[in-house]
Amino acid sequence: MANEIIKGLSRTLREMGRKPTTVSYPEQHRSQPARYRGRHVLHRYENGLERCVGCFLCAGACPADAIYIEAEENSEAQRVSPGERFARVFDVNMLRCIFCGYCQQACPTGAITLEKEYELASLRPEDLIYHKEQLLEAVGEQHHGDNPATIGSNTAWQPQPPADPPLTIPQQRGTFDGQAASAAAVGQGNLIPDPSSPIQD
Amino acid sequence: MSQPTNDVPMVNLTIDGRQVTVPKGTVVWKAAQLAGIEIPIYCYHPKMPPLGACRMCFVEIEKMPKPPQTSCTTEVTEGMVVHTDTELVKKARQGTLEFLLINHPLDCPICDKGGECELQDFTLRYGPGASRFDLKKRHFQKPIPVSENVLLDRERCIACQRCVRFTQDIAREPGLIMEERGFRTMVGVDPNAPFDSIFSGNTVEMCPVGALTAKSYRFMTRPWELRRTPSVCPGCAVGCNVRVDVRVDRVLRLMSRTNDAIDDGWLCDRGRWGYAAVNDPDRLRVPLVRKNGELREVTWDEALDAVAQRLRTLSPAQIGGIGSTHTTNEEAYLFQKILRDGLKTNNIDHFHGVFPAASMNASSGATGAMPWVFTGTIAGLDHAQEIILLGADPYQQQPVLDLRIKKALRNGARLTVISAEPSRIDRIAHRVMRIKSGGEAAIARTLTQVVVAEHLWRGTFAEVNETQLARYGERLKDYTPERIAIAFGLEAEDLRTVARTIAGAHGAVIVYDEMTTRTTGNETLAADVLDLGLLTDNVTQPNAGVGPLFSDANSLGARDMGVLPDVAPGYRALAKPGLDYAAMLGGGVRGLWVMGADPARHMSDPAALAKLETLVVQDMRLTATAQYAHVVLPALSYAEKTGSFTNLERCVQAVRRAMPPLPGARADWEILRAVGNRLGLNWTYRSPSDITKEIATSVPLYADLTREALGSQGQRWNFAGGREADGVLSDGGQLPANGSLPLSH
Amino acid sequence: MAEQMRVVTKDIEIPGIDTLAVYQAHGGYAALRKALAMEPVAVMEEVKISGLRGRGGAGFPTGMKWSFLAKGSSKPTYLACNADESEPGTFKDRMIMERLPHRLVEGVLISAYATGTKTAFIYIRGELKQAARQVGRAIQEAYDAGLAGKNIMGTGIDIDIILHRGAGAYICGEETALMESLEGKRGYPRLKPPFPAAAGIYGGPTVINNCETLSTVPLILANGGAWYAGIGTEKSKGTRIFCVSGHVNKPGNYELPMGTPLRTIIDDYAGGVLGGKRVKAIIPGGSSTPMLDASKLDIPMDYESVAAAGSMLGAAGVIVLDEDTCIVGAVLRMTEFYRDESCGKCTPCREGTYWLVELLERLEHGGGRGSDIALLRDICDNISGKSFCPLGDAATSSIISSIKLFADEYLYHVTQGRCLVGEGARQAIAAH
Repeated sequence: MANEIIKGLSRTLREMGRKPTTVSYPEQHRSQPARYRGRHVLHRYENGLERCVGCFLCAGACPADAIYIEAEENSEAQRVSPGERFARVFDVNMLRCIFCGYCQQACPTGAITLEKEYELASLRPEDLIYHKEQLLEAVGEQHHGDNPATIGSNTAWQPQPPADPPLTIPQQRGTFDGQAASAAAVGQGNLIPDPSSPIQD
Repeated sequence: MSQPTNDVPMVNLTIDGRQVTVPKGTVVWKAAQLAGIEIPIYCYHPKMPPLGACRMCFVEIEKMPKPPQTSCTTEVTEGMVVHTDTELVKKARQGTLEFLLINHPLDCPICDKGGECELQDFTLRYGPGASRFDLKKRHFQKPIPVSENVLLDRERCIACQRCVRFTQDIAREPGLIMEERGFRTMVGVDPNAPFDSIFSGNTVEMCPVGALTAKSYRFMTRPWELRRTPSVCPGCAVGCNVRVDVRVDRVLRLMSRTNDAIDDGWLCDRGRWGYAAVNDPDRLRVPLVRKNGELREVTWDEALDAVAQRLRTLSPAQIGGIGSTHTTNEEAYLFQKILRDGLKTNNIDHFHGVFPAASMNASSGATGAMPWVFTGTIAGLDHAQEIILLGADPYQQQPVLDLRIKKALRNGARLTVISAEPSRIDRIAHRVMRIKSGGEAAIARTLTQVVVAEHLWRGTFAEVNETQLARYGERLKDYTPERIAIAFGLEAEDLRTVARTIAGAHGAVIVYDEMTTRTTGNETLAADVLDLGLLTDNVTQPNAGVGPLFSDANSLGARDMGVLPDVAPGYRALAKPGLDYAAMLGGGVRGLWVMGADPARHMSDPAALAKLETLVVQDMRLTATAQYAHVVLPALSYAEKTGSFTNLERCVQAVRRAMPPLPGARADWEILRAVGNRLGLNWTYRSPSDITKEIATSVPLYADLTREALGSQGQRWNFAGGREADGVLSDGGQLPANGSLPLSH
Repeated sequence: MAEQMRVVTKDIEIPGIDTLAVYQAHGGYAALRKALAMEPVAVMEEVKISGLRGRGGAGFPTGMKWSFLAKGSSKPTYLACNADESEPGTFKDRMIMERLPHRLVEGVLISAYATGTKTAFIYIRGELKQAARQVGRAIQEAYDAGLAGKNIMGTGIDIDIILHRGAGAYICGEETALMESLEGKRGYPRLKPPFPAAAGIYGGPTVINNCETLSTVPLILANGGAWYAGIGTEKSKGTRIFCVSGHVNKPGNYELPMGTPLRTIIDDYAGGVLGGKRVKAIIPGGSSTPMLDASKLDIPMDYESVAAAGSMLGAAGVIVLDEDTCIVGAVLRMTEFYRDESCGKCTPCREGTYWLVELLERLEHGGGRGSDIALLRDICDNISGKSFCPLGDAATSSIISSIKLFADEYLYHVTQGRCLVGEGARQAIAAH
């Protein structure tokens, strides 16, 4: 019997020396794991333009029908995103959202990611429909280097494409640099055409 | 679709092991489609001749040299064996798709076509999976406006030429052209002719990629967000079949829903982009009642009570009703019913053309039963030999009919335009006669005079009435070609030629615009044209027809439903006709009920409406008329309610609710039901279908009509007037002798 | 230098032969007179006997082509002379038109008579100004002398000749594109069937022949079909004007009997290879025909032998490439031509030729990859036989044949980033 008590107490004594798992929440915040999916953030490019092109793919992918978008065309006077199209209205209904992260998987420009913020509570339901102004990161806050604020969880869990195998052939770069084409045309839009493009003569 | 007919022999062939039987002359692509086998296409379009440019529709045909063959250019032959999924075919299609994609921008996420793009779909189904093109794609400035409503993105264009061929071959208008050649090939606008076609929207719809986009739809939504409802275009009397695409609470576009008998797969821009009124933020949402001289927002109950109370204080003779050519048959029917049954008055009318009950030669009996009916069919135009536009301008008024006429011209028809105003079709007409406004009736009489004078008449009607024709000619003796030619500065011989061609044609179509009959001098136009048609046997012959081209979506329906002072639904004559449109507005009544119409537009002094003791207006917006109203009731648009329209060739077609009704507004039939019940009528219609059923039982023309029977392509009521073998024709306004006119498909 | 066998180019050396008077003094228009005295069927029969085959490239028997002309059409029949000579490496029609325009006019008149057409068109390539001027003048002279137009030579036969100048598009040498162009439309090839013999210009049945073919007809009439059939080989009868160009000492047109060995043409007539170098490759029939290497120098130049060697006699435009020629560069230049001249109607030709040029340019300038050679072949496979008209096939023939024959040179470009031979190789060495 005594043996059992000693055994139990030794356990208690051993644990007393350890740092507690719990934190005193409002004052202290726990850091989130890399793949944590919290509130959505809409990102910007380095030059301040919004990444979101208003393509509706996140809304289409959303199993909870939580995203509502209205798109509009960029004008010369007011350029919101690169390319032709931007989201004028971008609402996420946090009451419906199940934080599955399909929206960031669907996004072709890496505009929407689920970040670390989890403090989503309000006494009024309408407050929990987040509008574009609330979702969009502020100018200057966008991801530089490894600033964790808006790194997005993409980097943590999306497999990176394999690097091009090194070419054994000596490349004499003349007229053609052999640069690979990409789907970045999404962001090309009505910007001035690349002068090196072969059609322009 | 491909009913075996006697004149076209059938051909048997095998496609992927399936036996198919199609008419001779069918291309392999079409045969495969009928067999349920998809062959990808870009340049080919079922409504246009084959081009063979995109090299996408490859198939392998046994015993043919140099496989693979293009299925859109190869006609079927007896015993042909086609394979659509051999390795050779797959490789060829992959090759073509890879070529198409080397310079395609892949900006699908922001492309309006993304989600319903044939390049996307076919790449997914037949494509190579990955591209080996590792060079830079070419770029163009974009978007380029090619017209007021259409924008061009040259990077996305795959040079299939559908748009260019549509404007050049189908619409036969200048505008779009192919520029440059080889890999620089691109679509452009003819520097000498702007792309201002009223059919420009079709190029957007048929563009297989997102190269041509509509300004109104640009970036508004993505295709998978849309709810698509089959309906009918409310733009004009042609009644083109459309699909109404709605996102949440806004109509974003109308797309064609091919009906070969009516629209042949095309829409005009006016119809396609004419949905602004539905989305109008200024639409009425709350009933208004005039209090102390001002229109105040009130509840529905208060407004409906006010209507019933105001109307009850007037005697039947003091009340009038003005119906609409835009509301459904069900609403038109209910409107005349509430006035006739509830308010006991025949003062009912709407704004329409003049169709005299009897022609000038009544004694000869040469009037058809219904001069207001176009006796031919739209599809019948395809093979008409002569087409006479007598004071009609379909390009502006019934645009899709203009494409039908052009199709007829391609099939060898000859077109004569006789009108006061120049029109766009003059350019390709075989004969153009410019006359003075109001001279159309005189021209019709002259042509009839020639027919009588030269003994050109033919057909049962003329034979039966032959004895009276001399007397008839006597009445027309003033209308000699010489006199009329001098009056209008024409050649008398030309008039004679026209008369002779009409009398000799295998199917002549003579049409005039409904509103042309309202010009001074044309009061008898409807009867005169019908006389001409009867004497030359162009009323009931296949591919022939005479009659008016109506203006609005339900112009004919309003007549059929008896929104007229002198007839009940189905043209049953009334013993005591009521006041007509002009008489009611000219002070003949003290209380006026207006449903979906704006008579103030047709009045020289709209302020006269203010003198009415009671003016009730049901409409979507605060129209000029509504400004004088005592009660204004907000109504719903065609996109928010169910019902049916009758088009200009008597085809009854279903209109379906495409979106939730505007909060606060009610459908006209709901309003009528509510007022009717306040007038003690005890109406229990739960839906427009109930009204449809009542129409089917009480209106012989619409016998057997059900919503189910209307299907997706509508039903046409038969016109039997003037066909009676005994030659005894009923007077205008009465049913034809046989009485029952079964609906036919 | 060996003598040529002048049949089509008979009397071409005579000064002033381009005028009617001199031409007639040397027997001109006698064949027309002879033909008009015969039944049209007899004229056609004479041409059939001669075994004359189309000189435009396909080599279809001319007499047989004429007999295919649809009878009983409600529309008038037409004759078209295809003088849109644009194939790189050919310049025979140009010589005929510039120096012997009356022979062409006479040939057109006889052929029109034989086929029963009242209107003949001569479609001349836009760039050939002098040729158009000469033919135009010859037609005018013929009209003035009563040899064309109404009531020719008092026989009561009417034949009008209309000269049409193209706007400078290679594709308009394709017969149906030529017809579109002639009608004032964009030069796109038409869907076949219907073939021109059934519905051609303005929907009427149309006979269309090459300029050289029609210019041969007067000689056949003058000397008899049997005489002409005696020249040349068993299946390729008559003479051929070989247009020799490239690295030879004396490039030019040489009219020789069919079946003359290639080596004879190059060495005996064209004066041998420039600078005494060795021949590396020969393109026997204009740039759209596959290349041959030096081992094929001894083949006789007739339709069958060239086909057996793996190429086509085509329009007999012999292009000689010497040992110092970079094959990739030469192929690139030819492919550029096809890229620029593609009409843009069909996808494989429009996009494929563009891609081919990009790849070849990358290879030529040293940016190529090992996979590019296989890619080139596969693109060619996707164009060849898949394009709307033969232009697509033509664009690929030089690439396919050159990769087959000179794969090492392509590989050298990939691995070394420069040309194996020629200017490119020397520059690269100097730079190192």
